Amino acid sequence: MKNYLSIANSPVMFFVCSIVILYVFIQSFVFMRRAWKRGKEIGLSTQVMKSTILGSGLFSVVPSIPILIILVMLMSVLGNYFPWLRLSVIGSSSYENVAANIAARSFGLLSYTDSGYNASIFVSTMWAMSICILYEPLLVVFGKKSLDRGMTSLRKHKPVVYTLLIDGIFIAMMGWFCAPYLTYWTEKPEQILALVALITAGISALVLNWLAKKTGRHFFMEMSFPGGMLIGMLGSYIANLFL
Amino acid sequence: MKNKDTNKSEAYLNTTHRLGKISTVIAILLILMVPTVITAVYGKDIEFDIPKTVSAIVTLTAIYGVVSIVEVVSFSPFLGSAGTYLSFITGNIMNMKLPAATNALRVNDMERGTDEGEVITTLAIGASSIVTTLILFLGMLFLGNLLVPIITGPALAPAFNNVTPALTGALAAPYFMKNKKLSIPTIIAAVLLYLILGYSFMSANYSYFMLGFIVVSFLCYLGMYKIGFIKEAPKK
Repeated sequence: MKNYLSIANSPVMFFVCSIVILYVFIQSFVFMRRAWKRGKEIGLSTQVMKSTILGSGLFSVVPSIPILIILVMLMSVLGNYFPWLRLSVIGSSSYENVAANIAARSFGLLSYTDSGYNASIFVSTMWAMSICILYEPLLVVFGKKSLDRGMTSLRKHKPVVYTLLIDGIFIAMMGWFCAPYLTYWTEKPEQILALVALITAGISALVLNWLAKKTGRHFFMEMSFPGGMLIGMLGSYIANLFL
Repeated sequence: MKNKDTNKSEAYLNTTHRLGKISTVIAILLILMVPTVITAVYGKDIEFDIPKTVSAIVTLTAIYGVVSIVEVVSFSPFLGSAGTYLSFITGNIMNMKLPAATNALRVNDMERGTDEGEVITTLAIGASSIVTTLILFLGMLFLGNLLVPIITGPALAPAFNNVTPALTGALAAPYFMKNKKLSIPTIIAAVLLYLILGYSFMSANYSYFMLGFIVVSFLCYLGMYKIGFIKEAPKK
């Protein structure tokens, strides 16, 4: 049997993974170009659209770093190209690691780092991870238009219920996301750093918003989210020095 | 004039859906092409165990099937139409695309579901996807092996291990502050659930509880509005 890393790091693997990633990369440009043209049509200023692209691009650098860590971790076991594909297209840092482990466990291994990992398991892992990641895009293909129609109709006929549904649910979702960081330290004391990051980031974002209002400078508003996030990380770094 | 604008808006959205569906289907086929080509090229050199592969697929489906439904229903209203198609192909929604879209709307003081909101969310999500793809490409080439020892080292690990809570705090705080009457009971309820049931149990059943929590919260907000506890819809 062939060594699985010779398959995982083969030129064939690089070629097929590159095609998919290149396609998805171009897809982003196509959607953005359409949006840009539509923005011009409805009177959005070039400045607003440019600053949105720049702000979003800059913000995305820092949250990409944990994904980079997962990439390197997976690359050491699954080869260079498949993890690159999985994390660039649909995948998420939380899904890929777990999915690779589950696939390995179906073959009686403890994890994908097990010494018994071979080419057969690698190819099966590729199939399992590729198929199971497709449920979300399939649901979007078949359900998004109906979901949008329902939302448009609700917005037209019951605007308050619509706003409660959209913005209220966002608050509920954020509350739900915050809860583990607010509580996990009671079980695992070192998780106090996550709580510090959450609170420091929140307060910093509020202060930057307040500065934007006080000074009338839009820059502070634009910085409130990425700046808050960076200060939150700094907060956990500083807190760790005292622990 | 207004009718003409509405028609243009509808035409834009219809084309978005068509383009989104076609491009997503092509992406799905391309994703499946990868294991297909590898199996075709190297299949004769390996023993391909179909029953165990199916077993892995069934296990993953049992875990991620529900997660998929919850994520599509919960996230897509916040991403816009084009943004949803893009996000569910490029991935990393909760930690990248959702914050990028939400922040872009807030900074520009725009509403979800409007023509302006649709354009802005698409631009924000597209830019976020491009940056992540480039970083991962560089990561695959050399950046990963160069950076990872530094950011996972003892000096910087406390900061980089906590990117997600920092991101969540910076995103959520302005909304919580503007909607105290809704957010305070919501946070208290979520915290109590975690404290009573424990982190391990909640993590194991994350998607089910998230769905239930969102539905119950919405019904409570509706009740609070009906009895006049909140006088107006939530502020952005």
